[in-house]
Amino acid sequence: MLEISNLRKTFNAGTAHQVKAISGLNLSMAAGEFATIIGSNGAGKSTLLNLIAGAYQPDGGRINIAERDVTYTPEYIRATQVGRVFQDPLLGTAGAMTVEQNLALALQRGKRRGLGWGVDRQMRSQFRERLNSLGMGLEQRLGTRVNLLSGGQRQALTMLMATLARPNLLLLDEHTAALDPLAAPRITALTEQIVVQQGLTTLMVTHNMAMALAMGNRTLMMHQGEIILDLSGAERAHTSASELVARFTSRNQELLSDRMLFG
Amino acid sequence: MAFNPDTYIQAGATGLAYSGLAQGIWLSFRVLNLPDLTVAGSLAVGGAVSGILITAAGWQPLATLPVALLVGMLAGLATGLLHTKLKINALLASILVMTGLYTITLRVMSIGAAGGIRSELSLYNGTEAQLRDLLAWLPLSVQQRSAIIMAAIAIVLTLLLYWLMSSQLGLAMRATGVNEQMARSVGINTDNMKMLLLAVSNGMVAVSGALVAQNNSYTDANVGNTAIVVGLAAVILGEVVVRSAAVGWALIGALLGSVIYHIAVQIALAQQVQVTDTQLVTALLVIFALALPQIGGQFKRLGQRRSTANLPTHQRGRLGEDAD
Ligand SMILES: Nc1ncnc2c1ncn2[C@@H]1O[C@H](COP(=O)(O)OP(=O)(O)OP(=O)(O)O)[C@@H](O)[C@H]1O
Ligand SMILES: [Mg+2]
Repeated sequence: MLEISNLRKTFNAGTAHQVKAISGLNLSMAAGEFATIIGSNGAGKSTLLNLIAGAYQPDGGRINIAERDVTYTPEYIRATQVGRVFQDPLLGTAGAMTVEQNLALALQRGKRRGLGWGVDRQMRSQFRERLNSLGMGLEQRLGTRVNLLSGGQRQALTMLMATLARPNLLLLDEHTAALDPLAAPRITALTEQIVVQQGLTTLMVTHNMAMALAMGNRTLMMHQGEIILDLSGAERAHTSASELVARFTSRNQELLSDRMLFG
Repeated sequence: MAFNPDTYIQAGATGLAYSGLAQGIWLSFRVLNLPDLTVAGSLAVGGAVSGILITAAGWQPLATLPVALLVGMLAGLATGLLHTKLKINALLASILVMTGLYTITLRVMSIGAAGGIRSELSLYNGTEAQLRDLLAWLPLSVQQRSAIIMAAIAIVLTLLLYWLMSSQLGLAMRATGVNEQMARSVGINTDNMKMLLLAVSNGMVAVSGALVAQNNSYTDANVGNTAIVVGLAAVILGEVVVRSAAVGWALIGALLGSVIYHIAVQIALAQQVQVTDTQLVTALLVIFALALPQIGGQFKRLGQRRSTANLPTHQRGRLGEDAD
């Protein structure tokens, strides 16, 4: 479903602030695979997701989604294949618009937008049904402006919006990190429910090692713009969160000492 | 001075003619969040195009409106292209187009002029058709007939705009103004939406310019000079009157705001205020209205120091009634 080869991205190239964010990254994901991504701050996780979604243009390499080369396809066209949920609950929804308007925008993903009514009765009943399954009472608040909702409600809505028109690829970037301890597990549960139900190919960035192992069926560790660990199957099943942390730190030190020797 | 209701009806008709300006400014300023000065040029060029078609080509006034619409849309599109494709700052792009439009307005007005360039145009020299002639059969005063025609046109334009802004395209344009990142991530071509919205906005303003010219039987190349401030004043007055951000209400608000503004100016003029003084008063009114959220915020901060109102919006829900 997703094929990435030799992907490269440098920010501020040629200046004093040059940052090599992604350096020759390769990744292949089969349809229905759910991979979690871990890695220290600045490892390039968000940059990778932005490159896949088309928010950034790469400096080199290739990205294929569903057998199609999308490396330089504009973000809004790629969006027909990619659903996203961001860390900041404010980013995924249009705050000044109502719940139903936001959902209608997401429903039209990949379709031609014309002069038909933006929200009609049929959509409303569909939205009510989907919102009802969230169990947050949002089905009563179709006409409420989204910026009156809580962060958890907004993130649940974004989750629904990202998957309303089934995407080929779902990208989640620390999408529970800004939520309070009550809302976060609810969004986590919702994520598993939707991803499993729809069998979505998913990449989820998290800083929670336990979650990285518990959710999905593959775990990737990133460091300095590369994937340095790729766990799945039995190997992953036998890895505990503390082992993962240990490998994380040892690998970091290894790379650091390499750098001191050769850098 | 004796009270003459027709003076105020005339002011109302002027307000209705200007309502398209207010709605156009609402589109760029409130929906797209862009300060678009193109409207100043669009208002003038709309009046010039309509005026010249009526006086030099003998067109029916109503038939000139689609032409004004088209010219205004092209102006908005030009600004949109400069901004989205050439990445020129939106304010600067609109100033560039506005400046260029001034020449075009003069050129259009001067078509058929005996003495080269002219910067004003009389739309009625005794023989030309006038909009209010459509109601010649009604036993009403000239001002009343004008007001009825202007109201009818304003209502039709408002309904059309309401339809557009409630459509799938309308939602996409609004999302582009509210949250561009989100808009792109649901597959909206935000550049196209910006260009479309600027085109529609300036099209509305050019039609408004045509109506103003027809209502006054006169236009000049400088009618756009105060357009931004007058239009903003109408938008803000409308927001005070209507108090709803829903699209339909906001459009009605802009229309009402425009009528209220022009009647208020007429009242001021009746109190011996000079025409030139109204500009300063209008500017002060707009400054006050724009500063109101800031001033209000200061008061709130004093009053409820521990309230959630001062938290960033994404944190409010945690303490607010919606927390879950
Ligand atoms: N738009 C940008 N301009 C310049 N540098 C950037 C930009 N985005 C990211 N970077 C840099 O690229 C590197 C990778 O950043 P990225 O946001 O991908 O890291 P991350 O793995 O998501 O980290 P975190 O866990 O903190 O979210 C960092 O050094 C960062 O400073
Ligand atoms: Mg990140």
